Amino acid sequence: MPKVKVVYSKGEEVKYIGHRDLMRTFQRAIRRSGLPIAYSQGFNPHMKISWGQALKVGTAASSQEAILELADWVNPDLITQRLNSQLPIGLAVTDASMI
Amino acid sequence: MKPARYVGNELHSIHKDWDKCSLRVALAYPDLYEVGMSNLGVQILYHIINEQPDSLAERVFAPWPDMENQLTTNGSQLTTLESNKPLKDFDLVGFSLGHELTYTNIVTMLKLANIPVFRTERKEDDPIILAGGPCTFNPEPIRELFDAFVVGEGEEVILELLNILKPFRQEPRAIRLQALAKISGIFVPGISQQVKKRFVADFSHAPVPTRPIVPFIETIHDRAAVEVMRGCKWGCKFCQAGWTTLPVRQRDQERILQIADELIKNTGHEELSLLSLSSSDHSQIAEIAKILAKKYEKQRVNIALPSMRTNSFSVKLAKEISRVRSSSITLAPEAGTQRLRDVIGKNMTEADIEAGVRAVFDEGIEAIKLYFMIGLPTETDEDLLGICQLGEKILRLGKEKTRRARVTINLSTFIPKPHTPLQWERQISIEETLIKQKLIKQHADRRLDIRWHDAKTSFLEGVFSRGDAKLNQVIVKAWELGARFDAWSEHFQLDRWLQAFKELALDPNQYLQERPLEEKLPWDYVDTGVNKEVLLKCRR
Repeated sequence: MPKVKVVYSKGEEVKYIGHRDLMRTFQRAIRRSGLPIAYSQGFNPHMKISWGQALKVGTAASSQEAILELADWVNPDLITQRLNSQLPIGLAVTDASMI
Repeated sequence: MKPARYVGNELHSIHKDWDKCSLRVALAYPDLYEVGMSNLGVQILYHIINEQPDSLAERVFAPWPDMENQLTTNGSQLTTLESNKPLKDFDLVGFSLGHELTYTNIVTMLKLANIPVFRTERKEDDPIILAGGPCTFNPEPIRELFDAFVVGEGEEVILELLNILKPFRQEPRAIRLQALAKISGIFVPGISQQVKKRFVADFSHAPVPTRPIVPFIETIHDRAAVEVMRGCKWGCKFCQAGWTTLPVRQRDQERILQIADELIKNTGHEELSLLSLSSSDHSQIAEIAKILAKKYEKQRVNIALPSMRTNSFSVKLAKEISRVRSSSITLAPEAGTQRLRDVIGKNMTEADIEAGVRAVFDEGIEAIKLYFMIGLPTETDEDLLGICQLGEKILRLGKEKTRRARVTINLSTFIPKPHTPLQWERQISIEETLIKQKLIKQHADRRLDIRWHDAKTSFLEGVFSRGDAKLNQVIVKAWELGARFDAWSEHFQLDRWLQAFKELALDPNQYLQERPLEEKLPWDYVDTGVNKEVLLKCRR
């Protein structure tokens, strides 16, 4: 399945959001965006995303990474655009590339 | 310490231009952000007010004691999440009161806002402090803390309230309060003599926030929710929610599906709950749940049906629609014998229970949670032992299916609530509660997992549920002695409360006593639409 590396920034507005909460925020943005994310099997399916190193609560950062697994091929520019239309203030995808 | 609960800026939070709004409302919830943000009422009012072009609503929650200390030490005021404005800058501060053990947090919030705690001490430039939510069915214990009370559902009354206040913005407080007292459903202490509960007649088309705020941090109920019904037809004699939310109204299937659709699209939540007091009573519940489950299967949205009566129909339905297999099912027989279930009007027979339990175990669910009350009217040791016997019987049925079957028994103390047929009954003391809990623990099969509510917390809740105006002083005194977040076991200390009662020369135990039927009750002036004769008739 296609994998896409997403680079995002975590700004001052959301620097107090912990890693787990950040993951959930992304998952909800992905669900709203309608992107064809891949899910794990089983009773409790979860989105296939691997996350980079967790940031300390209270720090903002410019280039954080996450790798999303998709069920379908999507143009990386469209991924950036669709996620940015759904992410809350302070979170923004700066680059997406297929790997 | 969780800083994110004080930050705001969540998805769909609304930041309106302060100067362009002529009426500004702070919606206050006297508990943690995580609790308050799970409250549907807060979200509904937030959106109704913000949809008015010339009004705004912002949110404020009770600070956890670490944050309270920080604010006090720095001499900072409590501010709203949206604009960071102190509460004193608002025209109206509306508190949503879900249960009695949040009362000391009201004091914290008013103190941190430099607003006098007692209504009679407020000055012209102080906001009007309003209360709403289930607690307003007995305003007496907090009548001196609030300028006005909204009794019943708020969707319509909030707009009437804004419209009445707008032209009176510059008028003296006294005039504004008199204007409020004219609205049906609003009780103004010192002016109103009685109040009639409000409810929304056209519930199907009542306003629903389809772009609710989506918190960053995990809340108590972290999900999207659609109310499918209001009111409950069963009339259990102990249930305040059942008696105060009448009439029973169900929302149209089409409207439910439309709301659900927008909620999922706008929030991205992984779970959608269909809420009501008893969802099995909705005539189309199965069809609605199945349509939703199918429609959102691809997005892995789990459809949840809490508060269904446990029987083979509901267990099968839950299995069919739910993506996440539930690990346990809850059943509330409330009392251990049929005799006592009949006394309290719990419409559930032993056969119903057995059939429900069998259905649960047949579907491969291994854990059952049972809810019971102790201290019910006419209860004897036989009824308490009946809890053990029922628990054992259910465990035996489970073990026939699987070795891993588990049964949990939750014991809570019966608290007589205003506006129910049991409002005159006696509540058992802390000592009696402990004796009854012990009896059950001693006689129950060791394999049953027995849990119980803290007797001291139930005692305090009982005092305030049927409290009178004398308790206003007690709340402030207990606060001065350090009481905060009394619903949280890590903060609750009964000693502070007992000390407060002692200093005011009051006996808290008097509030637990049986009330003579002919006695005037402190909440009699609140008309819920069910008159006292009906309650008396049902009591027998």
